Amino acid sequence: MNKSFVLSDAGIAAQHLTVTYANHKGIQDISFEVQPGHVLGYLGPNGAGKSTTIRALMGFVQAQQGHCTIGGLDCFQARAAIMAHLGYIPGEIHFPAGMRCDDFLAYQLALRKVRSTDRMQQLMRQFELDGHRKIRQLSKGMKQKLGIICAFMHDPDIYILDEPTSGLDPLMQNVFIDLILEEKKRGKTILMSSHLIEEVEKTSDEVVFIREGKLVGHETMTDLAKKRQRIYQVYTPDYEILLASSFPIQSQLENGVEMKVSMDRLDEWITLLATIHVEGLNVRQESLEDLFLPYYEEGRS
Amino acid sequence: MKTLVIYQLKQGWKITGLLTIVACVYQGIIISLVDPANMASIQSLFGVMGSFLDAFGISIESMTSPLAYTASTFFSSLVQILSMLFYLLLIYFQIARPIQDTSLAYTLSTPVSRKQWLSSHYIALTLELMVFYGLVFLSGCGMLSLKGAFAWERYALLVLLTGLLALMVSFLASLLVILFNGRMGLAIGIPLILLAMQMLCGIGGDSLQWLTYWTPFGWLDSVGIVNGTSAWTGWLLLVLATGGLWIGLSLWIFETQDLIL
Repeated sequence: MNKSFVLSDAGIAAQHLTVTYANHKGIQDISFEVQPGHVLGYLGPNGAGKSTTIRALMGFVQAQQGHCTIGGLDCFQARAAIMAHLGYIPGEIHFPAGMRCDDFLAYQLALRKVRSTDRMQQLMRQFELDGHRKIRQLSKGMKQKLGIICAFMHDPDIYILDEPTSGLDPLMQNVFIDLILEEKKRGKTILMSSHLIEEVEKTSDEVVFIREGKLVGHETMTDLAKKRQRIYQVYTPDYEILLASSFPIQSQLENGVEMKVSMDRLDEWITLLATIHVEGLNVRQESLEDLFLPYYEEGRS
Repeated sequence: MKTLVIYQLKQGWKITGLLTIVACVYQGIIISLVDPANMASIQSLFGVMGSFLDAFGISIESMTSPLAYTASTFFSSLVQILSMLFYLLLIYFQIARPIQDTSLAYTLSTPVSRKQWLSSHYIALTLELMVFYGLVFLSGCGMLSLKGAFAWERYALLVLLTGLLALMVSFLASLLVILFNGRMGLAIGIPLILLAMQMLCGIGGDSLQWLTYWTPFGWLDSVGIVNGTSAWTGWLLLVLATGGLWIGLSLWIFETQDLIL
């Protein structure tokens, strides 16, 4: 049964989603929601279950428990209907062999019954892709560009992107980020899995962190901004005094320490600095990477 | 669906062309050896090969006319070997490779259902085998007509039934590829085993005749069909029903299968 849905319904939801493979665990009890018009960053270390979650959303695998929906439709049962409104970039780019770029894109448009190639041409210019080249001759980065164009060219309501900028040079990464921000302004719903925290930071409204198949963090960017503290790099021969203090130490530098100081303890910290010989002082705002790196490091340990 | 079928046909047109030409040339060479006025000479020519012919189901005694000779030689095991190579390659390019290399993710990320995609493979495979056997028939008619009058309608029936048999086995191979998530091992192995069983029947004589009932290649009496002595209606129904069963099973399995794309 096909059911169309309008943009306002175009949200993504997973509820207690569990997908288990024969040889190893996949994901367990994953729940999140992407509101229509929002961007969700989906982060996690290698093997955490990001691609498994995306496979479930794409209807490639069926959940053993829980369910996931897009636009209110079950991802596995109504996958063909959902795909009419969805753009997808897989984590591993493998195109059908023996085709040229423009032939492949035309084939994809034909499957979607889209006649206009205007947006496709515009994206090819934006990402500097020569349509006449054979796919097998493309580098990894060029294939990634082709994948991006394929996902965006039919102007869908929803995007599911698995490491979309993998292999792209920094210039093209910026072009891609601009594209995401533009689609976000147009009210599109986007779920983006990425290892590039900076990319997620620039585009996402919310961030979900998954590790070993389980959801371990879910924050809005607004809340994260409030949680950010200042990180100070203090260069001093008396760094052992700082190491012994109660202030959290980020890392030890060659001639000093990097430490995190909350606003309510700033006065106490300045008093401590007054007791030592300070040779240099730098300050920066805590980044999203600083906030999420412990999740990766806990996973490794 | 039309887009999918055209795409699937494009995947296999080179193989279709190449192997069809090979089959037509092979048949042409075989037919060119025969002299209708002197069938004994072709019998003695094949006679020197001895029991080697039994493995391929070639019967010297049945070489009583150019048509019967063609049925006994080309349409015993040889055309099945050629068409097996043909459809296994097509199956690999059309369904196994897209699953194995995950390029199927792009097709299934469009509003194309799994049923549509797999059905397009079956439609394309059927059309390609029709081209193969159609051209074999036409080239055979041309060559046989040079040898004199022949019962072309019996030849057409032989080509049709042989083609349907190949189609049914190709559907079985497709089902095995789907069942094992894109892996070709059993899809190649099972048809080869079935063909080998037929060849063993020929070598083993009466003691291994029971194998005939276990392989679909043993069900078809190519000489009997052209001579009008073989009952084929029941056989045809069985082949059609079996082919339909393989298609239905593969569609059902593929619809609910997890795809690691």
